[in-house]
Amino acid sequence: MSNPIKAIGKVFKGVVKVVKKIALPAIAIGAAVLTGGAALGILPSVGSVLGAGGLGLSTGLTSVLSSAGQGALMGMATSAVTGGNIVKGATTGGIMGAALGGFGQLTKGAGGPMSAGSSAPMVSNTPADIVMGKDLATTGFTAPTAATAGTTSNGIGSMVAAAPKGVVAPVTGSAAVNAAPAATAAASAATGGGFGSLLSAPLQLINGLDPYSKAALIQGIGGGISAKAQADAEQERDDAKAQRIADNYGSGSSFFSSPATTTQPAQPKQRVIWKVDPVTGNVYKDYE
Amino acid sequence: MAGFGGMVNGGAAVPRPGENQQDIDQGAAPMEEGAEATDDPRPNVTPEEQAQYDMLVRNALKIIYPEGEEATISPNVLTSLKGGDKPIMNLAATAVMLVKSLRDSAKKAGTQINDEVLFHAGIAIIEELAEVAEAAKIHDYSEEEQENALYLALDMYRAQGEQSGDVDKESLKQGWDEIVAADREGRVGEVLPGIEGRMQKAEGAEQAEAEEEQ
Repeated sequence: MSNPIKAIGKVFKGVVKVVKKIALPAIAIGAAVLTGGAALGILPSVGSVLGAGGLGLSTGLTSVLSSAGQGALMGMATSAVTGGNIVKGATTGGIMGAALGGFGQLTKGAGGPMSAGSSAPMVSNTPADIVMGKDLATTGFTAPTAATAGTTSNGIGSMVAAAPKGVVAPVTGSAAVNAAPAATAAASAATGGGFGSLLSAPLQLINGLDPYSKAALIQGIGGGISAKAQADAEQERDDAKAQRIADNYGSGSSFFSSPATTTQPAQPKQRVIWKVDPVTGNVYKDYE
Repeated sequence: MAGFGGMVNGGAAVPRPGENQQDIDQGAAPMEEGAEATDDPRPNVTPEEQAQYDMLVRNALKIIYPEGEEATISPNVLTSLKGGDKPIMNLAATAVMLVKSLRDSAKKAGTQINDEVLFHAGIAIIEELAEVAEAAKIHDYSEEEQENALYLALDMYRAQGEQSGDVDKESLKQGWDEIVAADREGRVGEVLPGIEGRMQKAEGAEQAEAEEEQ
């Protein structure tokens, strides 16, 4: 997608008629959102950037764009989640991620990639079958049928609903989420204790993604990681943490010795939650 | 709800359930700057652009309304539009998925989609999905909600596209610079037709709010 300014004034003959058409001013604002996003960051952050007043924009344009950002963001999060704070709302990565996690679901039948443990590709049928220049019927495209079992658990909306209110869904413990091992490993990295250097690469990978994909990856909605991989990653993290704790108490202690196998750590586990900075798009860890 | 069928070759507009061909408005006067009219303006694109637009939207409609089935909307589309209490997000995400799928399939076929066509096809898809949601009693989108879904969809598409290389970030930044420059020179309406009315409304609302606080 390139500069959409010239696209604003284009008028196409409609293929179908709709009752509620998006008006020209909204299309123009959309072009500003598209270009402004490239310059200023993701939409949830635009409001705060414009609000800082450093861009020299007119009051009117600032208001219009701030409203667009706020309206879109409030469409993503209920006020109960954001507490009315649109920037805070942007950090509810579960909502952003969940919405994008269902790529491919629209044209996929039952048991799509949203299923835990599924090795199905994210997008199936659609890219190969919906061929520009050819009628869909001639390409053998099979539209999804009504019998898409379990789609309620795979659909985007249900993933949004599954994300706990107010927080990014935890890396562990959510039946609807398969946390990426990179995110899990990154959690270990961020805890310090000397593991950061081993696990910084996955964290960099995550931080290199666009903000919406980051949220999706962390939420595991991308569907790329099986439940087993998640369990393995969590076990690895627990083992490493137990080792670190044991080391702190030294060997030979009658109570705390280097664990040969996994042991429960002495202190209660804190639940890790991952958030996405709306301005930088970087991932950071928080505790609950 | 009756399914979508009977696509006419050549991209002529096809009546939706409950409509007849005469209902389809084909050529009103061009939309003027600042107008918020809903009359269909006169098309002003090349035949090639129109053909590409028709194919994109038709293919999207075939996903939304599976061919050969009466009174059926794709269950996955319905599932995508449903969900918790996030109708704007659901609409935006569903539209982005459709557009991305269509774009990717065209890429695989070696077809270069005109970005301006893609922009408008995406808007048409959002409009259609909103009607689907209303017909399926999922959510009755107001015009403001539809617009917010458009903004969210554009932002989501851009964010992902920057990573995948499907979005020319520098070109977009250039567009933003044009907007900023035009705004500073007091001619933003030339670059963003129709926005001045909204700006005046927003300024008026802010003024009223400020006066109320005093």
